[in-house]
Amino acid sequence: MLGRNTYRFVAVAILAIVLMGLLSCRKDLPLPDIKGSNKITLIGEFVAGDTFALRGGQSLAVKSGTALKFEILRDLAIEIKDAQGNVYGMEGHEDSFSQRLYTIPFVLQRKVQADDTYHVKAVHQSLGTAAATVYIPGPVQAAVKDTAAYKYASENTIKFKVQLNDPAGTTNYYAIEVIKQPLIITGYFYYNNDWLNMEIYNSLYNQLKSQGPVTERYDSLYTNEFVRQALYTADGNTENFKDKGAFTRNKRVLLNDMAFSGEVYNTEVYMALDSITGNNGTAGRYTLYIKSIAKDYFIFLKAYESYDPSTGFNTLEQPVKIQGNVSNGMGMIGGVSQVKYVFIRK
Amino acid sequence: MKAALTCILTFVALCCYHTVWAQQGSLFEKKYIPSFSEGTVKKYLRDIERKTGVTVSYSSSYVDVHRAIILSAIQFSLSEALQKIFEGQPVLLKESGDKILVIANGDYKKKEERITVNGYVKDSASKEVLIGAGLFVPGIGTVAVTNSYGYYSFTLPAVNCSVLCSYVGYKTDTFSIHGKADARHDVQLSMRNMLTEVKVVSEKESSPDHSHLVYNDIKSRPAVLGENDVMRALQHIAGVQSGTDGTNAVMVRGGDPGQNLNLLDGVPLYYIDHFFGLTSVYNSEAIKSVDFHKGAFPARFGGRLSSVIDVNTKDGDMQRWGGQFSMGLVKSSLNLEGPIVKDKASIMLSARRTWLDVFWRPFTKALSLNFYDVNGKANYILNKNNRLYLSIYNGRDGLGLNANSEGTSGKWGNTVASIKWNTIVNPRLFLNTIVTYSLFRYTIEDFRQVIDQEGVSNTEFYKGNSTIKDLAVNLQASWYATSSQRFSIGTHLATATFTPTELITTNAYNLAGKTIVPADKFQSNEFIFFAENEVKINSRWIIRPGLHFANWFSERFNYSSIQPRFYTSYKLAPSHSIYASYGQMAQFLHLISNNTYGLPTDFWLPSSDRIEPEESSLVTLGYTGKPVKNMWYNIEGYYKDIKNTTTYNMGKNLFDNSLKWDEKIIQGTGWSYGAEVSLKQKIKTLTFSAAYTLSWTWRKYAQLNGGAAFPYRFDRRHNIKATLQYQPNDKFDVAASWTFMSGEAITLPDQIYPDFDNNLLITPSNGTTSANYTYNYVKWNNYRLPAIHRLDIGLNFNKKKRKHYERTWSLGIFNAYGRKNIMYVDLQNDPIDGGNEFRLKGMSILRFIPYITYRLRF
Repeated sequence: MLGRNTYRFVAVAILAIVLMGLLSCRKDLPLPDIKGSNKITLIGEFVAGDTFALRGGQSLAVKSGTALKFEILRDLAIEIKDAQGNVYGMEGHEDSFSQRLYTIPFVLQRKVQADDTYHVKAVHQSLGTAAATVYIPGPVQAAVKDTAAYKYASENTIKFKVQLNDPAGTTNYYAIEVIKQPLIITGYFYYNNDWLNMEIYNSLYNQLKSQGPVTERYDSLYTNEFVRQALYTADGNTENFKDKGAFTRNKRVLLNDMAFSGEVYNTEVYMALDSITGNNGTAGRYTLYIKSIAKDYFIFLKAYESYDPSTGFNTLEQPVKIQGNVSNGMGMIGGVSQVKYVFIRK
Repeated sequence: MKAALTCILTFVALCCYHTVWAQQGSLFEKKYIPSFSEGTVKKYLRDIERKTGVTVSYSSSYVDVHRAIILSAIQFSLSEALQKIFEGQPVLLKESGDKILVIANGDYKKKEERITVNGYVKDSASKEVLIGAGLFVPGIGTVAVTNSYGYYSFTLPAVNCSVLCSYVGYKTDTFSIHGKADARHDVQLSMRNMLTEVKVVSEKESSPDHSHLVYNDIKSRPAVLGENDVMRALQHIAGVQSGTDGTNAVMVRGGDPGQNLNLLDGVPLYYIDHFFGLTSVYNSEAIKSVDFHKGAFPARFGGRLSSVIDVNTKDGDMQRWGGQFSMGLVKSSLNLEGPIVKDKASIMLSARRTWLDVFWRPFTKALSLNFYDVNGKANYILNKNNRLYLSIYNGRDGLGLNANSEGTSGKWGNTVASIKWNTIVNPRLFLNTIVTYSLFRYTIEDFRQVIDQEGVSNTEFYKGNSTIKDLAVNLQASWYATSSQRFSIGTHLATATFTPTELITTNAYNLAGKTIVPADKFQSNEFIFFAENEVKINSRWIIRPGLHFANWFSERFNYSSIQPRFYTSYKLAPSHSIYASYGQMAQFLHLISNNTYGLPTDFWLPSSDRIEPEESSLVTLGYTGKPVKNMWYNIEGYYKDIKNTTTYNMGKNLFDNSLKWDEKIIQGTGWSYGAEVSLKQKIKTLTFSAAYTLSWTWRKYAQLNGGAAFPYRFDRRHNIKATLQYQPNDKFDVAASWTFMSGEAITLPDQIYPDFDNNLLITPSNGTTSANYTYNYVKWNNYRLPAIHRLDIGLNFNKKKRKHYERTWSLGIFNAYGRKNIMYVDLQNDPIDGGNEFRLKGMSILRFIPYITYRLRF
């Protein structure tokens, strides 16, 4: 429900202020003396029509006697077996994200097929073998029927009217999300046989502009960054609404076809122009994904949506068990068929 | 299992030791050498008491106490000495407990005839009835204890005899019965001066089946911010576990707070916390007494598994107007009581409110935080045999946040009312009819400014409700068949309407005027029938079999439960008893709770076709004794089995999904076992009391922890509460209270792995906060927090001003040695040497917390 998390947070904060008396302090506690070792971690989405890609790394075992510190897992070998029994090795190389994510990208230059199942096996000399089975749903039939600027929950939003043509006879799971690639627009004006940057030569540009027409040119550059946009939904059939109400900023809108199996179904999604992490400008390329996802991925995402990473681990919160599909390991490889719509906002 | 066996063996060994100790010879065989050779009967009886420690009970109505006696200063047995002392007088001697009773001999000739004596026991000053007062007839023993309305009745042979009436904190009174016909005796007891030692026939702590607390028990211990409270007083009883340190949550023998039946003048309360658990809705100033049952449940109680907290408010002074005003750091309260018609009708009104928010209100309206409650009770004596009570209670907690035309506010609280009618149908039959109404409402409102293309148009407003409303009629009859047999029977009919959650909106831009989450109102009905028979087999042995039948039904389900209850106690020696009980309990209401911080994040849900009623079986075995004067102890072992205990499924948020609310909780089993020891010793002006609990509590759910059993969050292995009080005079007293509790069990992740979204390269951050990792949980409650211990000290300075005025300053400090007791824990990401190293950090809050309270009684 609206504001409930805020309410609980503030209530606890006030408890602290009023009751404490101000003499609170933090105390280091010992970690449990238990057995357990780090585990292979596999994270990624196999999207029908795309090449196979995932990231591999390791988890940390929370126990005494070890520094709880992430490190990149090297010498990890990953292979994929398709439904026909063909086995393909994935190639992994560190990239620019590896040093901050502590994972390595693995790719296989073959296309993921819809309505197929793949078995992933990851082997490491000291961490053993982890495996995952990934089902790729059949092609999704969905479309964005309408868009409009809209004020929702005091925010500037874009309303997307999404239509799902749900296939009959199967239970289907859907996820809707919007990813923005920010756009940097740089303006130039022509002066003395040269193109000058409007921002750098701002006073000159204003002076020339006041004297008459100025020749201008704009360069658009998309950054190599993908930002998740906050979404709202007031659709009572979505898991988001059931769990958190109409005014919670969601990462993904999740719904299954229990209420509309085999029917055409319309739902509205409100995309905040601010990203999920805050305001970083509204110009950019917005890609709306309508995904049909495997059941295990839906369960994973539903728990992941309930889990608020910003709280980290805290005994004031009920633990959320996020069940992945990697056996003897951690993480999730989601099976996805999707359609996407791109909107440019300058 | 090994631990349980050790516990039971220890318990049995302790019982055996005391049994042997207690079974030493007859009082008549005791040796006595008179201190003088000539004296009166009275003088010799005093000498016997002084030299042998044996009390000789008699009444001067049939004993000539001034008769002169001559006794040689040689050794006699008590039997021989007493026969000589009473030689020629028509009396019989009988041993009863630790006394020798002198009974009028002629009375036994009329023993075929029987008479019934009944009445009320009242405070002589206020005329308020006294609950749990004991009536004792020499030669027969304790014949009656007053019920919740101060009523007693007993039947005995038609003899002339004296009846002693006693109550904790009051002078024992005596009245005579002339064995001719049934008699009505309303007894009035006077409060004793706290420094005057008066012989009391039976203190209530000697009743092992439940604890009886009065106002002094509640206010005598230091508490956080000076908030003395019923629930905090109960935390000092063996078998009662606290929740998070500093809060007033009460968990009894492995149960959770929702398994306590909280009664206010007989009306069930659903939510009992104020101000995040700092205090409860029970206003101490308005309380007359509290009866707390943690086992040996009388058949009349049902509907909760673990305990009964039966709080009775003051009836109101029948003689004069008076009251009490108090002001502490958090709240102030005012209590007024007095007669409407002297000796006929009285009224009591009590109100309290937080005042902290009044101070900051002029500066900001962004935050509001307060609570209030009002208690009222009126009673009217219709005639000698009929009395009417009307009780009301209303309380609310409020919390609001308001900024930039947006805000959230929440209100929650109870409204209860009851009408009771006591009727003495005949001296042996007491009838009590109660009509009760209880409403718990929790409302959260959220409003936001909506701006459409034409500018600010309206305000979006959402309101969430959660309510429980119940209406009940109770009919209870007590038939005092003989002095050794009391039969109780009763029925209870109730209908309750539950609205687990409802979400409505008005003026919303896109959802105008819609109820977006329907109420899913749910009606359930309850029928209860109980019967209980308390039988004194002989002067040593009491049994109390009972049966409680409950039927809960609605359009969606129909559940029935037959709950046998049994309690027995056997006196091994005058002041030493062994007792045992077995009871089954059931509850069809479930409190879904994810913390114990006193926030309204807990919800009551009824059983449904998917959620079955919770059930428990409890067996106890105990020993209680008074080895020396002013010392009392109790040892008790228990085993409790719980079926269908409920909790949230993982990651579930109950409030926002009313349509599927019962799918969000899961049911499992639980069990708890342990041993409890209580001790109280008074040495002149010093009183020491201690309670120790050794216990194990487990839970098991198919959906959690891989289906394996795991420790309950508040499975505290050791729990010690010790209090030392020193009261040199009535102007000053000091109390020091030490608490030790094993740490609670929390769920710690076993693995941390890189975040999913980050690794899809969506919003990857620079990665040094906990937000970049996902926590994997495998084992539930797998980590023990450090033990909690602290010393609380409180002082009271009393001063009498004129006849009816008394002011008290109370000062104290909570956690005087500043122990860093952990309230909550987080796993912090601590960048060390540029890396991401995690550290487990505990937050300690309540240290060196002082308090000061002013109280004026008038």
